[in-house]
Amino acid sequence: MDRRIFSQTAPGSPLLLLGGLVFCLVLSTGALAQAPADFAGAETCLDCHDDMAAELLQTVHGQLSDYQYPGLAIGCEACHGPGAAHAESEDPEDIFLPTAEMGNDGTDLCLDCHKTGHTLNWEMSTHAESDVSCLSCHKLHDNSSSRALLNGTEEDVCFTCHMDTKGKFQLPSHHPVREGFMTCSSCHDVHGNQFQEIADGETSRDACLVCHQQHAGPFVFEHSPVMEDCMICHDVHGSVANNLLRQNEPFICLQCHQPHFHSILTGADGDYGVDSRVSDADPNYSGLSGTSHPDSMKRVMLTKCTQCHQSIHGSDLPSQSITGQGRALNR
Amino acid sequence: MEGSGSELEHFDSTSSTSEYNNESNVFFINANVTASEKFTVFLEGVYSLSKGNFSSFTELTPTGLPDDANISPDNPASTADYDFSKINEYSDLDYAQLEGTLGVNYKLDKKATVYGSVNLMDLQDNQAYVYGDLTGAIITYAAGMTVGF
Amino acid sequence: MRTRNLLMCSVVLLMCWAGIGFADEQDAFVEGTAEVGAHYSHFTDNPQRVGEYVNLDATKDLQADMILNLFGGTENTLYNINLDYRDIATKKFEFGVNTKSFLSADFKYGSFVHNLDYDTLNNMNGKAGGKQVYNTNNDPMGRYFMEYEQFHGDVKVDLPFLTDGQIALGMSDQRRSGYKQTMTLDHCAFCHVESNAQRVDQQTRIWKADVKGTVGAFSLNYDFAKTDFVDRANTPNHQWKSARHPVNGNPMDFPTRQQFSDVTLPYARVADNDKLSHNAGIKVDLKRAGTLKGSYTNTNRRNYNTGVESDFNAGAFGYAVKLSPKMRLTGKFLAYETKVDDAFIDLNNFRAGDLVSGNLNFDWNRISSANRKVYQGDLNLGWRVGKGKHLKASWRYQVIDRPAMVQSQTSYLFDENNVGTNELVASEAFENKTKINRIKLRFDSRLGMKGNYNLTYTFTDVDMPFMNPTAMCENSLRGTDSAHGADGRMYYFQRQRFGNGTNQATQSHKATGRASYQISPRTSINGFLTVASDKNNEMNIYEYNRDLLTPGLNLWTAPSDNLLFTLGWTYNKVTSNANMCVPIFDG
Repeated sequence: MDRRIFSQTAPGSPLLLLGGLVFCLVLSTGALAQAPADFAGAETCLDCHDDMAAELLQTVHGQLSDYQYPGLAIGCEACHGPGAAHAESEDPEDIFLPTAEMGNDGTDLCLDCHKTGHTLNWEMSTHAESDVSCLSCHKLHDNSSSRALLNGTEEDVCFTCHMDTKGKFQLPSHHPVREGFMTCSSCHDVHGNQFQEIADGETSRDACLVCHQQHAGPFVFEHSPVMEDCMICHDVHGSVANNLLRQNEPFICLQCHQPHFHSILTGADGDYGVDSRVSDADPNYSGLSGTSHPDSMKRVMLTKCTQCHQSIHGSDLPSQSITGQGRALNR
Repeated sequence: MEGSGSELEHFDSTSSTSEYNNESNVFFINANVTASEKFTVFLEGVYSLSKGNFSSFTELTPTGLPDDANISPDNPASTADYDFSKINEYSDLDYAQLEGTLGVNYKLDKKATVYGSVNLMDLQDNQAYVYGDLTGAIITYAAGMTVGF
Repeated sequence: MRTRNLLMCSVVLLMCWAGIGFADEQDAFVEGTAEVGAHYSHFTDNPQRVGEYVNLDATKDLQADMILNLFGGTENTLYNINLDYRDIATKKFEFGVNTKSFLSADFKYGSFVHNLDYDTLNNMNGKAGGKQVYNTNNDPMGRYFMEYEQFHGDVKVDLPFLTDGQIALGMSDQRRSGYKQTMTLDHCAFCHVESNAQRVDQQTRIWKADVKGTVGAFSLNYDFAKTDFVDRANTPNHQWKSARHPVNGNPMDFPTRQQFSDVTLPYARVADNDKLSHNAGIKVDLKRAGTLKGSYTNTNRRNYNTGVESDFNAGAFGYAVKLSPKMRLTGKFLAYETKVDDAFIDLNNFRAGDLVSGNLNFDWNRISSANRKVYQGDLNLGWRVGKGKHLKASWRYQVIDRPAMVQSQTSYLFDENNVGTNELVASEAFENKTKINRIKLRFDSRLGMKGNYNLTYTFTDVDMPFMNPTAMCENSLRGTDSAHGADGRMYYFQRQRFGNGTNQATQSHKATGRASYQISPRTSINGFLTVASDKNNEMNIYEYNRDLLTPGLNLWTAPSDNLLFTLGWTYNKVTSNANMCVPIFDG
C-alpha cells in the first residue's frame, strides 16, 4: 500500500509568486519628511545613540512612512517627543522617556498608533486588565531580528509568566509546541478577543475547529459535551492519557454514563467460535473465533469505550439499533 | 442494544464511587559550558514521570433485594458478577520519558562554527494499555556547520 | 509535489535577491546565520509514541539539515527569510517583506508528521452464553500517521489617506493526509468489531479579507473569512451481516430490531463543511473619558452532506476608563445566540410487522445541544496601589440558556402500577439555564529590590452546570405482576435512568502564586504554586469533586563566565471522582 500522499497542488503557490513579484518590482523610495522646528530629526539622534537607533532603523518602526504617523512627529521623536533641546543640552531631562514618565511602561503611547487590527480589543483584554504592558513581551530598540519585535521566542516570552503550562507540554500527549510545530499564538489571541478572553475563536469550541474541522459538523447525531466545550473532556496543553483526554477511558466516560448492562455477565473460560448452525446458515459468520475468560465481558465493556463508539465527536450516519434511535455514535 | 424481551426482574441499581489520579513530575536541565575560547559543550534534558489510574470500585453488592430475587454470586443460576474491583487495572497508565541532547560547538573563526550532537528520546511504558507496550527509543546523531554574516 | 513548493519558494528567493540588487545599495544590509548539516536517526522497539512527532520514514537514511535565518533590507524595505529543513516531511519556511511605502507580505509554509497509536483490540473477545464478542483486525501491521502541511499567506496594503488604514488579504491552507485506524461495530448476531486502516486526505482552506482604519476618534475594523473543509478520501464501507439468533442461527425477528441488516453501507464519514464569518468592530477614543468599543459577529456553518446549518450571532460592548492615574475600570457585555437546524430522524418501526408489541415508532426530532443564548457581563477594576504594586478585582456574570442540553430517549409510558403500556413517550429535550458568578482577585508586587510576586484567587459559583440528567442508575421495573410490556416482557428501552452525571463544578476555588527573585547577580530563582478545588453537590446520586495541585521551581545560575545552568521542576496532580452505577437483574 502506497502510504505516501503527495499534494496535488502546491498550496498557495500562485499567491506566493504574486507576492514575490510585487516585492521585487516595488522597492519603495520614500523620503523622510522635513521635521518641525523644535524637532531634531532621526539622523541627529543617531549621532549619539548610534547603536540603539541604528538597530531601530532596521525594524518596522524605523521604516514608517510619513502618513503612518498620527501627528507631525516622525522617527524617534514620534515616541520621544521634540528632541532639539535634548540634542543641544544632552540632558536626559530634556527628552520624553515613555517608560519612566508614563505608567505601565508607556503602553498608552503604543496604543496611539496601534488602535485597530490585533489591538482593537486590547483595553478590555485579560492581559491589559492584569496590568501587562506592551514591553512585557515586546522589545523595541535593539531587536532587529524578531519580526513581531518579541523579546525572545514566543514560548520563552509566554512561559515567563505561564510557567505551569510549560510543564504540561512535557506530558505524553501534547500539542506539538515544544517540537516547534505550533506556537502559543496558534490558539491564543494574546491581544484580546471579545469572546473568549485569550483564546481565539467565537467560542472555545471554534478555537479548536480552526484546525480540527473534521469535528465541526454540524452533525445530525451529536455528543452533547462536544457541542458544549471541548475542554470538558480534553486538557488542551497536555495530558497523561492519549488524545489529550483529562482522564483515560473508560473513567472519563463513566463521569456521565453508566456501563453497559452486559458488563455484569460472567464470561466463559476457554476458546470459542461461532455456533455451526449460525455459520452454516450464513457463511459471513464463519471463521470468527476468540478466547474468553470469566472477566472478559468486563474487559470488553470497561477498557476503552471508543473501540465501539468511534464517532464520539458526532456523526451524520445512524447507528444500528432502532431503540437506540441511531444515536449510539458507532458509525 | 435493543431490548431482548425478557421476563427477568429488574431491581434498581447498585453504585460505588472511585477516584482518578493524574500525577506527573517533570524535571528540566539546561547547561552550557564554555570549555575554552573556541569550545562549548551544551546539554539539554527533560525527564518526566507520568501516571494515570483510578482506585478500585468496591464490590457492588446488591442489597435490599426481595426474598424471591434470584441474584447472588453464590447462586449457580445467577450469571451475574458484580465484582468490579479489578476493572481499574485495565486502563492504568505509567510512563517514564527521557529526552536529552548533548552537543559540542567548535568555533573555527569569528563567523563559522562546527557542531556535533546526540539526541536521545526514550519512553518506558510500565502499564500497557490497548496500544500494547509503547516502550521505545529514538537516537539521533547530528553534525554540521553554522556560518554567521 | 512538496518539492515543488520548495522550488517555488527558491525561485521567489532568487527573484527577490535580484530585486534587491537593483535597489539603492547605499543603505542595504543583510545579517543572519546559515546552518548546513546532516543527521541520522534510528529507533528501537516501538517508536510510535516516543517519536510522536518524528518522521519515522526519515530514520532509515542520512538526512540533510538546513537552517537559514536571514534578515536584511535597505533604507526603505525590510525582509526576513527563515528556513528550517529536517527531512522531506519536516520543514518550515517563512518569508516576510515590509516596504516603507504601503505593502507588507508574509508567507509561511510548514509540515510535520504526527504518528498515531494502534489499538490491538486484544480485549475485544468474550462469550457469556448467547452474548458473544468478536473482533477482526484487517490491518495487523498497524502503522498510522498523519502528515500536516500548512501554508499561510498575508498581503497587506496600507491606505495612506486613512490613519492606520489597511486592507489585508490572507489565505491559509492546511492539509491532513495519512492513515488512521477506524473501527466499526455490527450487532446482528454478536458484537463484532472490525478494524481497518482509513485513508485521510483532508483540506481546510481559509480565505480572509480585513479592512481597518481610524477616522478621528473612531477606529473601525471589518473582517471576513470563508472556510472550506473537504475530505477527498473515499468513505469506507462495511458489510453489516444479516441478523440471526446467536445460537441457532435462525433469522428470527432480529432484523426487525435493527435499522439496517444484511447490507453494505458507509461508515466513519467525514462531514465536508464550510463556514462564513463576518466581524465588524468599532472603537471610540474618548480621550480622558475612556474608550468605548462595540462589535458584531455573524457566522454560518453548513454541513455539505446533510444541509444542516448552524448560525451564530453575537454583539459585544465594552468600556474602559481611567478613574484616576492609578485606577482603571473596564466593563464588558456580550450576548450571543447559536442556532443549529433541527433534524428529523426517520427510523424503521421496531419489530415491524405482525408481531406482539411490535410496530413501535421511535422517530424523533433532534434538537441541537449547541442551541443557546448566552449573556455575559464583566466588571474589572485595576488599581496601582503603590510603586510596583497592582491590585485587580473582577467579576463576571454569565447566563447560558440551553433549550436542549440533552435529549432523553424515547420510551414506554408506565401506568400507576409501574406496568408498561404501548404508549410511547417521545424524546424529551432537557432545558437548562446555567448561571455563573465568578470573582477574581489578583495582587502583583515587588519582592524587595530584586524580585516580584503575584497572587491570584478565583471563586466561581455555578448554578445548574452542564450535565447529563439521566446518566446512570435505574428505577426498579418490578411490577406487582411482573408484566411490563403488553406481551409481559421487559425491554431494554423501558429502563429509566434518573441519576445525574457530570464533571462540571457548582463551586470552584483556585489560588495561584508566582514569585521570582534574583538571589545574586549570577543566580535567580522563580517558583509557582496552583491549588484548585471543585465540587458539584447539586447532583442527585453523588457529589463530584476535583482537586488540583501544581507546584514548580526554576533555578538559573551562572557560577562563572563559562558556566550556565538552568534547572526546573514541575509537579502536577489532579484527582477527580466518578460514580459507577450498575443495574441489577435477576438471572
